[in-house]
Amino acid sequence: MTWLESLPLAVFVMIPLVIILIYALFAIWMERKVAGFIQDRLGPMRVGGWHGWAQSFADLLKLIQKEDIIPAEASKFLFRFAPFLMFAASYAAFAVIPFSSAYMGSNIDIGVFYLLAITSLLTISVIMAGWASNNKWSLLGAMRTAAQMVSYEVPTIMAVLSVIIVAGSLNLMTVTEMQSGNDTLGFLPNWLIFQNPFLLVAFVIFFISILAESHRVPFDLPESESELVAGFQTEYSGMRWAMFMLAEYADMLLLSLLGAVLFFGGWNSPFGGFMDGPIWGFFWFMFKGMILVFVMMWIRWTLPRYRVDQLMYLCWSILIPLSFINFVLIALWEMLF
Amino acid sequence: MVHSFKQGWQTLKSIFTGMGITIRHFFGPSVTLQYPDERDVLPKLARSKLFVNIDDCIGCNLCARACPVNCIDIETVKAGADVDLGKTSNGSQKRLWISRFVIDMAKCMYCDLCTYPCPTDCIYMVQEYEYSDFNRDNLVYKFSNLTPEKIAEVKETARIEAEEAEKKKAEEAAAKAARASKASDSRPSSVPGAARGIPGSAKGIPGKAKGIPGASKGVPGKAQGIPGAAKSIPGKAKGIPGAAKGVPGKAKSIPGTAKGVPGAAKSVPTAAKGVPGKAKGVPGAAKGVPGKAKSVPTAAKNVPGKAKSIPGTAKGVPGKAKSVPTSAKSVPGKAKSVPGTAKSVPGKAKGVPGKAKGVPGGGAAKVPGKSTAKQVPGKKPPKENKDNNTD
Ligand code: SF4
Ligand code: SF4
Repeated sequence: MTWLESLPLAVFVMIPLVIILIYALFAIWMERKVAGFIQDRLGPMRVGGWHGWAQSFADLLKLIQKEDIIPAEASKFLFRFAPFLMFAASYAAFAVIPFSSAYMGSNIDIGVFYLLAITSLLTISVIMAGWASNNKWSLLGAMRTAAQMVSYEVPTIMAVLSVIIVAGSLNLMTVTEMQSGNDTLGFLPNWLIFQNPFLLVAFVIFFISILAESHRVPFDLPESESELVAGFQTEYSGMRWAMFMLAEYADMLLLSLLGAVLFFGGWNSPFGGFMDGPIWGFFWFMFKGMILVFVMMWIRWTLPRYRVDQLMYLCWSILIPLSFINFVLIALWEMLF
Repeated sequence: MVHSFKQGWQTLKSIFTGMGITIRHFFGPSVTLQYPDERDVLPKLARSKLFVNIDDCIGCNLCARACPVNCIDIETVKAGADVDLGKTSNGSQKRLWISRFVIDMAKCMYCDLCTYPCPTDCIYMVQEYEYSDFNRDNLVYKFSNLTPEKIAEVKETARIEAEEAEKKKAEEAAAKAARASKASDSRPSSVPGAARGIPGSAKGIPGKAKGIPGASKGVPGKAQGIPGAAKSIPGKAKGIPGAAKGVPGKAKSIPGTAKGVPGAAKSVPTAAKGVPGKAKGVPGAAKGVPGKAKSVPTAAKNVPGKAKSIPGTAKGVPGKAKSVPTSAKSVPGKAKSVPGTAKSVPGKAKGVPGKAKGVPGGGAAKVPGKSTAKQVPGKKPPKENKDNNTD
């Protein structure tokens, strides 16, 4: 294969990257606007004219200009490598997300399995960053993060599996396709959330867990500024730090999109055949994802942070038992109806 | 179990309540201003920046004295007799050149205290608040409108005039001295009183000077006394009658002292023997404003003495007391005593109009003219004076 022949493939593969970058710039701006509005402020207003829309570009420019600092005692290779591993893991997971009926990076039958496996790399990169920084705050932050991510993976997986029981496929494209149409109770879309009362509970568990997995408030212990400076990112600055931020926002989008696929019909239009098609499909899919992202931001500016022991208590004593019970109930429901 | 469910329900409920509140604010109006583009209207009396309308300033220094942080610095120069500086907008005659009027806004704490005492209302707050600067020196605002040349010129004029005035005074004093010496030669005994004239304080201020007057020919020495801030009353002229009498306020001529009783007290005793003394006391302002007390006894006949005492403030701020008797005959001098410090006692009288400075511990008085007298004021350092300081 010459480079020319591989060009279409490269473009094909780059599509999610473009989406992530645009989304990240937008989401950072949006996060600040949401924070501003909720606090009766306006947020960024000056850069670029209308409501400071170019604020993220200005920030990016600033980050690019920053000095590249690596602590003298740090483990140089791991320190440099960690942010890229983190972003790579987030990015790789987008391969199995069906952005529209016409585009999906890799249409494989073990999509969900692959996605959950590859996101586990995030934990490793976080530990890598914390350890390589040679800083006790970083290390503490990294350990907290790792503990949190590993713990919350269990309820996430249980919630996802509950959906898979109903859907009967690990391929996310198939899962999306089976949710098309508007037959539930005669008018509701055939989204899985409406298919089974216990899936509602599954969604709540899923949503709480993805908040914790992407370390959003109220589970932002890894970066709890008041205790750990910035957790595992303490020693990072400039573009390396930006890479972490990018990965974090990408992770947020990834999990929101996964939620949209599993519970809200992916790229299906909420109006059946109306506004349907690949382009509209992409729009609807991103729209649903962004709504979940917005809810995450909304929660961030509403709730205070959990304590470490409360975080673990919530996971191991409440969410995990609940998700197992729910799993069994969903299986029963599927057998009976 | 039931409890856990209740708790779980409570948790969910409070989360949704909280999210309800935040989403309402999300859609609610913002309360902030886009500052450089929009500005709030300041209340009318907002304290933002001081301004001095220098044309109306009479240089009374009241604003500078009122400032708790001393950020106003005023220097004035007396205008010559033939110069008319005009009137302020409310009709007060201006008599001083304002050679310096600076306000250090970096020090100012915007308490607004300086604006109230101004008799002409020419120092006030304006509503300009955007005057931050990279250099602190630029926050020192200068309001005087005189050029450096003009300042130099008025200062020179003032100096010359002051010199002339002094000369005149000296001449007058010399003439008086001549007259006095004549008189005292003839009636020496009647004058001694002057010397004791200012006893120290009522309360044991050591400095009670005994003046030992007499030294030369009954020429009084001087007196002294200076009362301490708190409880002393200068001016009591002992040999000179009259002191006690006719002194308004506190009997002892200097009011105000301890208790900050304002009010001036003047006593113009007339000496029984023809030696009138004058005591003027201007006590301080009631609270901590140092006042001055002046007692200026002038001997009627031969021994005029002048005693000035400026007691400290009511509150233990040591003031200064000066007593400057001028003896008729060439003798007396001036006595200065600084009460607050416990060291008052006049001490020496030097030469004719000389000065007497008193150290309470003891002091020598020279009576010019003739002989030296020692003035031994109280030997003990005044206990009371110490108290005075803390009063
Ligand atoms: S406002 Fe207060 S601090 Fe400022 S100059 Fe006036 S008296 Fe002094
Ligand atoms: S109080 Fe008023 S008149 Fe007096 S010096 Fe201050 S500004 Fe001038």
